[in-house]
Amino acid sequence: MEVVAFRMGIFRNTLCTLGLGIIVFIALMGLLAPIIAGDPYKTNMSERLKPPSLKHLFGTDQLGRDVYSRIVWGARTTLLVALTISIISMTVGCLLGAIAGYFGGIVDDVIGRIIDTFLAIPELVFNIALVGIFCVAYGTSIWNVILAVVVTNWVSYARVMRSIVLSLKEREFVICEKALGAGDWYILLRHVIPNALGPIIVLATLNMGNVIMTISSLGFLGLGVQPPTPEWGQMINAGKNYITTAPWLTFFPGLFIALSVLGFNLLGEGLQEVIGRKRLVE
Amino acid sequence: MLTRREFVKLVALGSASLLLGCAKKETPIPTETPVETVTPTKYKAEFVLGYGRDHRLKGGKWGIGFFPKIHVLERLVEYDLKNDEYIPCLAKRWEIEKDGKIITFELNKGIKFSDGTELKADAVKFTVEWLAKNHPLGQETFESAEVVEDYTVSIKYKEEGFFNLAKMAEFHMSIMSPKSVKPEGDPKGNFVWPIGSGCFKAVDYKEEQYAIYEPNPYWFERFGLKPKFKRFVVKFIKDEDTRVMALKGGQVDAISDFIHGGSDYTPRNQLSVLEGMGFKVFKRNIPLTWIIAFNYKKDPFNDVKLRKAVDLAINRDDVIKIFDKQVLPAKTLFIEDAPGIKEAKAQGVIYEFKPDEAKRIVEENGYKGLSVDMIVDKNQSDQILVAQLIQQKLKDIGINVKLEVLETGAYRQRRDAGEYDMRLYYIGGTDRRFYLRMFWRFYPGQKWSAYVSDRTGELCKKILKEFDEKKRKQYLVEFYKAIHDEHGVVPLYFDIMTAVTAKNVVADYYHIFHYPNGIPFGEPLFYYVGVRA
Repeated sequence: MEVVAFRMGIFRNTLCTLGLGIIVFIALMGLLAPIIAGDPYKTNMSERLKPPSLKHLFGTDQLGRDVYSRIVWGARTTLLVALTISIISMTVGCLLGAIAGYFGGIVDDVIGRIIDTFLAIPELVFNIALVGIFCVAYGTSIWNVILAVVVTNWVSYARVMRSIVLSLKEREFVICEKALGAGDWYILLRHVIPNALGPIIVLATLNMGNVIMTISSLGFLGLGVQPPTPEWGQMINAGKNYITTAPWLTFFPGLFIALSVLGFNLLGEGLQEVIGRKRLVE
Repeated sequence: MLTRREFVKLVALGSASLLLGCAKKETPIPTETPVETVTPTKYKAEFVLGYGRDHRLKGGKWGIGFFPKIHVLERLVEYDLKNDEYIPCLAKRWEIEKDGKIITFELNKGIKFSDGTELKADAVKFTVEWLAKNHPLGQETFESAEVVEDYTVSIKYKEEGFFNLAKMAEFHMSIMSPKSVKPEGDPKGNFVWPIGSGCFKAVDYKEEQYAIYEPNPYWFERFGLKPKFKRFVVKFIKDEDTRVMALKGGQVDAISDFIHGGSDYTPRNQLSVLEGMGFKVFKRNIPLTWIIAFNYKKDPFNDVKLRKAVDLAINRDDVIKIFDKQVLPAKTLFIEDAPGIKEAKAQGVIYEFKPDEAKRIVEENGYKGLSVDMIVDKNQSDQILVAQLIQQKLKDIGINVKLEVLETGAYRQRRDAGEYDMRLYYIGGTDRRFYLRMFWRFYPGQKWSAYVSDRTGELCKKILKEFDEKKRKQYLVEFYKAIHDEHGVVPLYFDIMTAVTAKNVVADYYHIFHYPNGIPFGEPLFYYVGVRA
């Protein structure tokens, strides 16, 4: 695997290395949360709104909770939710995009118009409306956020996948497969989709940053993960009233949102460069 | 001829006179009244207030908004909470007959509506009849009204009791001109525009955007005051943080809490910050207490022992820290000014923090590890913090609380359907609503109830019926004791009513929370503020 990675030039690409480093750092932070951080829910009213110190690295919040612990545990929430959204969106989007591109005709028309409809609605506004509806219908749950973001997020995957499949289906290997009597679904799942994964991985990486921003925005608006579960966007929302008196409440969650988005964007850009170079070589 | 000695004397006298004369020009004689050299303060023509609720000047299910009910209309009586006494306002005296089934009010003469017409008994009769036809509270309260003389009106109520008089100080019972509806004076008429005798007259309104008022000259004349602005613009800014930002940014001259109490208020934890920035914060204690309300008819909170454990687990001194100690810890059911509270406190009716005892009760009764849910209204950011603190306090005694922060609509749905174990709620209100909220929260069979048992329900009935102040106080003390013994609700903190003004706004506490004749108001009034030019 490492050889493959080297062959692809991931570790030789500065952007990739930097992005991957940031992501690994944040992921490790989330994974090791029980070891490296304390209880993110423990309130201590005699310690409220304390500035960063050796005892509380990132200070404490309005309920005397350790902001560092909440940031570390918040990494788990943010990354897990973002990853779940990306995987579901990617699966749904790629499948629909591939079907539209491969089969064409009325199937393409229907899926194409659905994609156009979704693209016409501002994403965040639609997310807000959907979370609101889901909350009223099903009560508060993290799945409301996941579902609401997936509803808008699959579209970009479908659009890219469709255009890739449109070009791939005219390639010799597909024509050969057809000549050998292979079925459409077999060709699609076995040959076309795997060959389209390169750009999709780049898109998924770049999209992770976008998803993190969406989750944080929803959290900031009070529509995302519900308190007291630590989540970065929601932490900024809770701290905004104290921005002049206790800026650490908004600074650190903001910093980690920025870092994680930066990490995924750098990795995505880097992968784009690496894949582009590989294609040129090929 | 003058001698040398006489000449010297004359010169000395002249010099002294000259010196004195010059000195007189420089220093005024202390016995004289100093000449006023201070130029009078110049005020801007407009005063702009940021407010969280639409004023509904064209009417709604509950009539016009609470704010214009206080600022445009007036009531027959007002309530003095400290003395538990109803005091004259539009009415100068009243007579109670048949245990309160009939109350005859004699009106003050010479009071004018903002359109210049005189407020007489026919306006009171019209208001009562209009409310009886159109308003839920009027429908359950009034039977009829009769004009006895030009300035005397007799109101017949559906039930007897002291509560009838108490209701007359309520927002909704404010007196309006018969010209406020079309056809004029028709109790079945459609409400078109509020015309009242209060300090302002409504002149313009755009739903969910603004309301514009002008000083009512007849009201100012009645109290011998001169308004300091010509236009009073109220901008509706729903979001609490945006209201604060508007004040900081100078888009509004002041912000105020929704005068109903309990929602759309300036975040309490912002008050210290605003004070630190030089804004003037006017705050008044009101008999509004935030509580934990239980779903006490359902398992597990139908067990008084569990309710007691929750009660003892709450450290109210910690709760008020969330609000930068701008509010007071609720160690009694209401603030000390509320009737009967001091007496109840003297009898030991105090809510205490005893976590060890709470833990013991939980363990002894097999509640350790119990999971319950608590619903919170998302639009009240302060309450979300309070709920998180309660969650932690209950975790410390072995009860797991699942918080559900809901949109207002969803919250109300769950509340009304009884789908919750605990929720944050409030009892009481501004002073005038003390008895009305007692009815809504503790009287048997009410929609917005907080807690009712056979004992508390009976006592509530007695309180609202009893005209005799001493007996009423005695029932109140018994009622507080019963709620405490049954741990029906868990008081958390006493809320306040606030108004925050910019540095260039001339305002004082007395005029913000009193009528010019000294009647105390729980709601901030803006008749005597001015914005320095």
